[in-house]
Amino acid sequence: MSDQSVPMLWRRIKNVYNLVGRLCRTCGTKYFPPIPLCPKCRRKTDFTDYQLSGLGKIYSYTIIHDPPSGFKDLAPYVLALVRLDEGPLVLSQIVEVDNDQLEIGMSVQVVFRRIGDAGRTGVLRYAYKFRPLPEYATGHIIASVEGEEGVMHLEVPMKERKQRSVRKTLEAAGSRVRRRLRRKKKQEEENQKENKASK
Amino acid sequence: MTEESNAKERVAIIGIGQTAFGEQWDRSIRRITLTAATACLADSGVSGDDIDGLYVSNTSTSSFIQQEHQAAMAADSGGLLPIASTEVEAACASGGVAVRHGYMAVKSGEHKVVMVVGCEKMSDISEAAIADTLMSAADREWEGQIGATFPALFALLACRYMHRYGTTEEQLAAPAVKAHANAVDNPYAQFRFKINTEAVLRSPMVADPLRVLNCAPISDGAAALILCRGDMVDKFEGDPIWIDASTQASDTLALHDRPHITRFRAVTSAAKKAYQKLNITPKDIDIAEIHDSFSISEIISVEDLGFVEKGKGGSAIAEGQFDKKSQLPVNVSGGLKAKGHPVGATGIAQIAELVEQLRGTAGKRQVKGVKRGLALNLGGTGSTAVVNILNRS
Ligand SMILES: [Zn+2]
Repeated sequence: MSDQSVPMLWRRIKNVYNLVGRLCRTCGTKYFPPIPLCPKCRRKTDFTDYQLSGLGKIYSYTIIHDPPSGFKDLAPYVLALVRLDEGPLVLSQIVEVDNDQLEIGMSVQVVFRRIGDAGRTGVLRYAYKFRPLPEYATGHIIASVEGEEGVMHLEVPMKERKQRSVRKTLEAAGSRVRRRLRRKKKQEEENQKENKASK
Repeated sequence: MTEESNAKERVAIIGIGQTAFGEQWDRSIRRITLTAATACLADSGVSGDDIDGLYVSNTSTSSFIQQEHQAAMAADSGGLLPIASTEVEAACASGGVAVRHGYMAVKSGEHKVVMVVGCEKMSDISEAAIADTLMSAADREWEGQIGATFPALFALLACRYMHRYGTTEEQLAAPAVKAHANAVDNPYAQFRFKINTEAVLRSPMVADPLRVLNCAPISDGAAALILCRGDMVDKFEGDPIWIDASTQASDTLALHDRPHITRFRAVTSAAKKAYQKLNITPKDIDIAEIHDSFSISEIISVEDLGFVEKGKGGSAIAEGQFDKKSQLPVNVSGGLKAKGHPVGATGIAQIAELVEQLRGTAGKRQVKGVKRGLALNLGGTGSTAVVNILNRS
């Protein structure tokens, strides 16, 4: 396999392309990034995947003027610890932000972006970043919704959210998708029944 | 317990040696390690035949000079074969942890006379490659791959800390200003000149709010100690200084896995263990060498060691509470910031400075009447903390 085809595998990594963390069912703690063991429960750890909403607030931030290799063409860029609404802290770049407006407590949402420069191989890496929400945001709100068929990404046009809070908009969009998925599943079950009956 | 059996269970430092810190492009790692070790033997009156264990601390020779297995190399180039030689790596805390391993080896009775030597050769590769190597001390996968640099992680600590406690940029500059003032009198120091607050605030930004002069430099260097069992000190000519406690603690590798980032849990934990062991309080410490790889680390550490109230570290340092002439001088050597930071040698050089101070042989930088000294060496973003407490008697 050549280096250039590596992204084909990366797309299968749910924790980097989606904000999927872990929930310990023993103690109820949510973790991101996914760790192999709940430090509170150790051998009693009972992990299940957990889709994070991608909404949070800046907990601490810095502007990197002296970038490491692989990030030269992004500098200066903002790196922040974001406190996700579900609890975990996540380290991420902040994009689409006016540096003068950066502050601890700023509301941010997850977006999917190129993470560094192309480097020697020319392969681009993509992963999560965060951007301010809501008053500075442009374009679409992106949210991830966990349906029975897995995680779906939603893009909600900005005009729709103007009348409602961001959370309500996402919730509404999420329940629309879930309804759609339920309807689809029901339809499939009925089709199966009919098939069986006709046999 | 008789005095003799008591002495047998104690561990003494009877020799110290170090190279000057700084860029030493004309000298190999073998050469600088040997220089520190030879100076150490001369200081202690110990011969190579007396040493029965060797501990070598090193952080990243695989990246810096593509040479691993420093333990065997040091034993070999020092003419100490077939001595048992062990390499210790704990990022920037490698030195302090190696001292602790030497201490435990002697205290257990397994070894009688041990050399602990630390070395690092950083200046052979480009600054970008050095920065990338230093990042291996933190979480490569979830911090490095996101675009974090090692200074950026400390900048995140500083940003949150300043937000929480209202510390100013001037106060953040204070540890560096103090370090440079102290280093003037240290012949081993990399930067023997003073800087003022304005110079720090004018220096280029590395990662907000940390500027170039808030960060320790890139250095080559080595430092060595001879440790020996307490009942054997009279056999050698070195003036013994005693290791009373050597404690260590760990924290998460990545910042995002910590419940709070304005304190170093590992520092508090290691210090508490040491104080409890000796039944002392922070007030009983006369002098300290504290890990100031970035200004914010010294500010947070003086608090977590119990030297000053939480949140007051920055103002206390800026007001001179830890100056050379104060009740509790911190980093009289010039610290990592001005003495230099050849990573694997740093923790050992901290101890060497305390030994000089407690012996009373520190020359122009001698602090009068010091009896008990504490060294704090940190690894990564505080993922490892090691505290060594030394005593004059
Ligand atoms: Zn748990």
